[in-house]
Amino acid sequence: MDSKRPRSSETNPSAKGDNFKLIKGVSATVESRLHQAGILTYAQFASLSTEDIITLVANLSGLTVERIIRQNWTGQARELALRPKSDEPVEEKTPPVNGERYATFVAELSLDANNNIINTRIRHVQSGDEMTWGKWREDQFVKFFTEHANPYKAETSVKQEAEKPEAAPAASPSETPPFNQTAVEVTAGAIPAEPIRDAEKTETAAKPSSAKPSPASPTMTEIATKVSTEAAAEIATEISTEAAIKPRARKLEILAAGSDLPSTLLRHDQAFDVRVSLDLPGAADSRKETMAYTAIVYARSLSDKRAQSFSRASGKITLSERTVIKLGGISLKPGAYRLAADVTIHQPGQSAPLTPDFHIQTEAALIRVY
Amino acid sequence: MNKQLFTRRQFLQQTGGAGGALLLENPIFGDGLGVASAPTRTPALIRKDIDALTGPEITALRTGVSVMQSRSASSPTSWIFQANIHGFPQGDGSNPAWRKCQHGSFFFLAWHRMYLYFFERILRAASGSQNLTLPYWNYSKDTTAARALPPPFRAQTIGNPPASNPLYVAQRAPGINTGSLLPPSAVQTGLAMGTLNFTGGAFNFGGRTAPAPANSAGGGGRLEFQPHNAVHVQVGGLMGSPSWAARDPIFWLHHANIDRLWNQWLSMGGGRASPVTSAQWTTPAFTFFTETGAPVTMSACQILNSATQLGYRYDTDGAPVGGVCATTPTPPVIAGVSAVPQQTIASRQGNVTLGDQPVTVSVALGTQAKAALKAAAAGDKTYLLNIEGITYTGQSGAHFEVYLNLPAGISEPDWKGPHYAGNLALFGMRHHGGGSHAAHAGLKHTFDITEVARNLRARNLWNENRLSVTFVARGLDNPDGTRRKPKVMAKPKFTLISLVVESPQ
Repeated sequence: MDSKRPRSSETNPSAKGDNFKLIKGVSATVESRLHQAGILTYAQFASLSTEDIITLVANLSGLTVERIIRQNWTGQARELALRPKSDEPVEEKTPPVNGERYATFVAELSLDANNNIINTRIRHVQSGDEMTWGKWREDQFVKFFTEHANPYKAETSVKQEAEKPEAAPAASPSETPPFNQTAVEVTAGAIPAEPIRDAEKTETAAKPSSAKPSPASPTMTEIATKVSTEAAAEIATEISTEAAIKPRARKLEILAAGSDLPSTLLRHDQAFDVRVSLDLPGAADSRKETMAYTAIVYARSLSDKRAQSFSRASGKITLSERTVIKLGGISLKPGAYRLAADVTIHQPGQSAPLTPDFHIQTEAALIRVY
Repeated sequence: MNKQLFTRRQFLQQTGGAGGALLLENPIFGDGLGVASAPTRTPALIRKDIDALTGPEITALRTGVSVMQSRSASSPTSWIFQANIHGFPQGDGSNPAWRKCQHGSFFFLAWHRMYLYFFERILRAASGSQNLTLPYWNYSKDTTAARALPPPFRAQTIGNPPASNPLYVAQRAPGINTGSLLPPSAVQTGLAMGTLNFTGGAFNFGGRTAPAPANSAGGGGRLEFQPHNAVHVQVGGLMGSPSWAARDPIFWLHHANIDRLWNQWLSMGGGRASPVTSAQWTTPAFTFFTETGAPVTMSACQILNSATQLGYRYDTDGAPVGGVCATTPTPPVIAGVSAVPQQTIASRQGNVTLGDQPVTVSVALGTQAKAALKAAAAGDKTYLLNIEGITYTGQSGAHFEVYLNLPAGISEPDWKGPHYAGNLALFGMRHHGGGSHAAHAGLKHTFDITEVARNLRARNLWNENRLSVTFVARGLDNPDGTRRKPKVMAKPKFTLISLVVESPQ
């Protein structure tokens, strides 16, 4: 049975909050009660204890602490808090740049213990349209894709992208991890070439390079930096398995101040650090001398699409295969952002990279600040 | 409706030097001086019993609540923002004005009076009714119906065609929206009203002293424990948790009644007085918001007399009461520490879980205990019963009546009988998403059992060898007043019960 879910505002006009019904196990009644109690965002939902949830939605038959824990309501909310909301990625409102548009889909499969698909739900983020049906229907799945990517079919390549095989495996039962539920986001559209190479996250890719400011921008601030040549063990392992040819950024991580654990959800009053891990194969052998670096972190808001640089650091660096640069004491206003960094390694006193390969751009990392 | 905000000069003229000295730059919001405005109402507006409100007055109340509920949560005059000032879970407080409620100390009554005062102003403005005041819910009246949730709050819809009732909350305890009654032991006020000291000592009316404001300081006064805590627990749902209680409209009527009882207590005389000489009590300034959304600060010296300082009185009030702040407050003392010598004479350890059925714990009275009790019985010493290591994971949905030496086989004891020692109602003891020390070490609740012990001795119901303590769960009564079998949702536990004799200095 196909169904188009109502937006939250239709069921509770006075409380315009996030669509909590996307959380498996959360009914319209639960959502309504949470909204009425002032819990309006996924981030707020994620911060609730099980006791809080029980209190706020009390007296609903069948709702137990065990069920809330088993279905991991707050974990689901945390995941949703990290994703662009339907009203945040405003690609459809953004004038096309070089023909780039995005159609973003969320596909959710409910699985039984044997990984058989019980239910399929797919949502088109930009329009909010959603369909659910029992079991797995590939034809329906593809049809939903093509219908909702259709407004972007002015360029033929868009349709081709939408029908690319990469999209389907995301919801393929054969690749479903052994959980009771899984959700993936699939983006169809012209993928920007640089610097976003965030294929693992498969979320709508922004293109911070298009608005990348000059390193000499007066809005940049010098901040305390920490350069480390010590690498995490997993990085060393990964490097050993591939003989990379060019210097490149391994990853960009966001760390709450005082923590070494990466995070993607932060409070607006919470300072954080950005850690950039670089792969510089062969550099340690060929360039023993001390070099200089300049690192710039910039953020692109998912709501207004504006990119801004907000942190710049420079200093000396001794090259090694595994180099980590840490920029500290950063904070952002509430919102969803993509962070990326430019790192230039150059001779002291110069600004040009040692070679063009030593101008390194990171992949974008998503952060949500509330 | 009085929307006038006083100038600093006017305010100083109204409040005198002591009050003027309390004006503080608002440290939280920085921009603009928040100065609490004093009222100009003459005569004072009257807060009425909810049962005495007229139809139009109920309509105005509903209108005000509805308008506030329709406002964005980011607005200080919205329902949610106002509720968040009382409580919000730890870790997601995105506004420095939130999560400021005061429980478990002598700030409890003063802070809630300020809170209600500014909320009432916002509500009045939202209602469009210049004379709107907060009604109170007097559940302690000597009628069965008084223990039922006031009818305007029970209906899910109102009018024709039906519209949602902004005073209705679905999450409340099962049955209370359909006429079930608070149990009689939940609404008794005698113990609190009979207490003469506002603060200090193990037992007091308004709470123990505290070095600084805190959400839950662990030293609540008798009025806070009873009926305040018990009513919160029995109404349940949002009301059952400090983090969410103020989202339920009945919260405001419940606290108006607690505020009214403060005035009643003061009017009883006999040395009853607010702690106006304590700098610890009079100095701290708390932040609230006016009907324009402007932040203001207020401190205890500005709310001592509700009629003359805040412009409202209750329909049960006599002459205005409240006192005046001392020009030279007493210096701070070490807070929350009883200087009275105490001797633990008997105790029992173990894991005890409270539930639907009565639970009895026996404490053996050894030779030392017998001697101490014998000596205490002849003197003016105080018997204390401590329940320690209390933990709970959620709302119990019931409070627990505590009885001493209750004969076996009595499943529905009479709380008015000689064995009744008080209630254990778990509200506000642990706060805002779990609390830190409480979650690990457990909580402590102390009963003054001096009179109970003496009564039992006088009736030959005292056992020299053994003290038995029985915990009886009490939930809501049926609408006809008959007792309903309780259903304890989350079962509290404790690990230690002890008997202490306290000697006066």
